[in-house]
Amino acid sequence: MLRWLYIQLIWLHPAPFRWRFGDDMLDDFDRAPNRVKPRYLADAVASVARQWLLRPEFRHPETTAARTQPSLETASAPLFQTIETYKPRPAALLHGGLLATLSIFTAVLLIAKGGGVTRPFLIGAHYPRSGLLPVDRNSVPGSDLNTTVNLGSDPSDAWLKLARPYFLSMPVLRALDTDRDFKLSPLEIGNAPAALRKLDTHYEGRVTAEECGLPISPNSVLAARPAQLRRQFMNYHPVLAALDADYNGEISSWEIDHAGAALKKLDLNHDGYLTAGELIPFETAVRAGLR
Amino acid sequence: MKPDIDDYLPLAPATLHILLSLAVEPMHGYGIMQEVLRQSGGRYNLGPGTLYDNLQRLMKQRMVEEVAGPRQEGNSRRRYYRLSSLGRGVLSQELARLEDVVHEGRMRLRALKPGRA
Repeated sequence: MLRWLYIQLIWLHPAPFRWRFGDDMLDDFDRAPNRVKPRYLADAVASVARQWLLRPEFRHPETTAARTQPSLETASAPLFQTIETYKPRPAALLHGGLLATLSIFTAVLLIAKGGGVTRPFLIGAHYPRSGLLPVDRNSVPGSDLNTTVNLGSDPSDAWLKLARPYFLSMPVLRALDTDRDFKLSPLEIGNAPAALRKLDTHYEGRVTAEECGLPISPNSVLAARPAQLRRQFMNYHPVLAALDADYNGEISSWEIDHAGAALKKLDLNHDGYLTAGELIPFETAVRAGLR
Repeated sequence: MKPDIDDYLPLAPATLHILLSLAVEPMHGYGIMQEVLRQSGGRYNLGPGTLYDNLQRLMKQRMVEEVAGPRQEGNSRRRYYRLSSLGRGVLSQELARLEDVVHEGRMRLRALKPGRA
């Protein structure tokens, strides 16, 4: 840890000093006994401050490097020296940085603007160009395309946003909407009796308001008048009101059998489908700002 | 132009000790630190930052120069330093100045002693 700190302190010295004495400083630190090392750290801190504040004349490498070459006349060992000690000036580095930034900016701008430059070798383009690999349809048999693509509901549709939680909160609609597209198709309307019978968990041949999703808490004051509550619940939701033809608060066996015909009465635009606009209660739609 | 030795005097304690260490033979940085410690009787422990800051300045002033290390030195990373002729001259002048200071100081102290008055 101390060694790591000491290396960081060496790195904080001006580059010429670091290049010149960094290795020696670290070597001295490694040789020193452990009890001395904290003091060496303090000494390095002072040295960093001294170098940056009091030694501006040593920050240029050439001033030290040129003068500190080992003297050849005393060197008994072979020495290897570089001919040139040139290093770019800070101003040159700054100019280079600016030029590089400008070049990158220009390149990004050209790319962002679509180029504006002729790209003769580009294969494929989003607009027709006569010079780019002309399409030859001679091999395609001449026949009109007759495939019908059915697109789903627009996810951004406000009715759909409202329909999703509503359908999920209503057991009857969950049972009827088998393909989970939040609307009832003619097929789903035709299969309504079978779907409703699945809700009859007590096998009584009828679907009660509770089975349709009415939550009655035993502690509620409304629990004292369950029949009235059931009728209100069934009458509030258009799909339940249509199914509960006799307004008694439950869907009887006869009403289950005739559920298809009852649901078709909700199809106001006679398109055969029951959409969110035809199934969601008026008050709910008003609160959502859709009416 | 030959530099005037008096321009470098008086020397700071760290500079004086470093020049003294290098007076006998070339030394590397750690050797200088050990020698300074020995010279001062353990009172003056020079840190690497202080040492190389001084060496940097002394080399710029051409009082110290770097030399190749001895062949038997296995650690090629170490740099050796020695006194230049200018450094030797500065050291001699500083020691002479200090001798004068010591002499003057002893004379004055002797004059202050009550028995001699």
